[in-house]
Amino acid sequence: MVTAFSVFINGISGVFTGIAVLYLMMKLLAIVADRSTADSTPSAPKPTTL
Amino acid sequence: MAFFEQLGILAVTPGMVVMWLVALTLIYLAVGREYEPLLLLPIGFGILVANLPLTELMTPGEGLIWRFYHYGVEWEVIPPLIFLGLGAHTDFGPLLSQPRLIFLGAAAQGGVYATFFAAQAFGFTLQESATIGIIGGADGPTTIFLAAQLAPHLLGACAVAAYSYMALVPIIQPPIMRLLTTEQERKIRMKKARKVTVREKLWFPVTATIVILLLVPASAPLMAMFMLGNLFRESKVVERLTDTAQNALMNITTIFLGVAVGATMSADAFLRGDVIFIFGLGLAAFCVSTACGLLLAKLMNLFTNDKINPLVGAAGVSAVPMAARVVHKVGAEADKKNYLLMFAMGPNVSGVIGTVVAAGIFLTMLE
Repeated sequence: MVTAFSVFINGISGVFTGIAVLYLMMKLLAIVADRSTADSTPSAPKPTTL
Repeated sequence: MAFFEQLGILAVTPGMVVMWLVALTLIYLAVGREYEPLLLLPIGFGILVANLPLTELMTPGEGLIWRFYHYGVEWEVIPPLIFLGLGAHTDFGPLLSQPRLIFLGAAAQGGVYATFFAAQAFGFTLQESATIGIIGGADGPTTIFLAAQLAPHLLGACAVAAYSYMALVPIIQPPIMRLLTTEQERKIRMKKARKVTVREKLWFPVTATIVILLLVPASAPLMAMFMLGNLFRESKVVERLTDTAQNALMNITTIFLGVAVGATMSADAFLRGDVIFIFGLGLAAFCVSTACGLLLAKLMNLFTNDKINPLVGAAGVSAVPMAARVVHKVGAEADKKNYLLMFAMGPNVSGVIGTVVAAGIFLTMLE
């Protein structure tokens, strides 16, 4: 049964879990993206055809 | 005579007149004071026309504005499209340069849950309490999205409360910020953020979508569109789509959203005792969210040498970019050369993500 308390606990823990995982992802991204830019440069944008 | 029988003026009720005054007040605030005019103007006009008798604009299956509401809001189309535009406007650079600030956006959801509990105490159902609580996230489209799913009868009041308080950020937040911080704390200068690479910005919307949707699938409509808009922006290969999402599409959907939300506020639905509680609780949610962001920043300072100016925690409520501007202004009062705007944008955009996640969890548990 869903109670106010269970919604509260799930909500708080869910938000912080989601944000914590995003934090780790950003840290990882910084390492990976920095490394990949060290030996390659982004290609110029190509014209779109739509 | 048939002509006189269908005269609208004969069907006017006192409740309708009150709603006209509410509508005119919102229109005045939008035009005269420029408080969130893009939303409050169509909302105010929507209230006005929906409370003119015999117009049948909101008659289910027939009314013009009912169709806007039904296919746009109830079908969950318009809020995600607005999020597409928001994503196309959002620069995650400030957040990526200081990832730890993302927690301030999470802390600012404290007001959402505190108010959820408070609303319960006032006798609202779980669904209604969640809808009222999400006002504290200071995110209009998310409030509307959640209200349409959980408590459609509260949609109009919650939307107006959310947008009104977002417009009043410069008035509501500074006293709380000054109350919870010392002069010395407000003067803290944060270290210059590192430069964010193009690749980081490009990969962020893709990886964040995967991470968030794996954790909270119910947030998909808003989060997916938000990140798609951001991918448009950061890819730099679809300038036309970015421009459309940022401008034309967002403007069109804003018109439909504003009028439809306003039109849900009939006298019967709005002139009830519990609406006063909704506005009161919404304000409390906003204040508690501001305080939670500030307090977490102060707490984080206990464990780090690289100090955070606690004011930036107040930007954890979404209200982009108004809350960040207010942080900068209050910080500048203490130290004119302290440039906090870009630091505050980090928690500001993470607040958007936090509110969407909170809404997704409410939907998962209560729909």
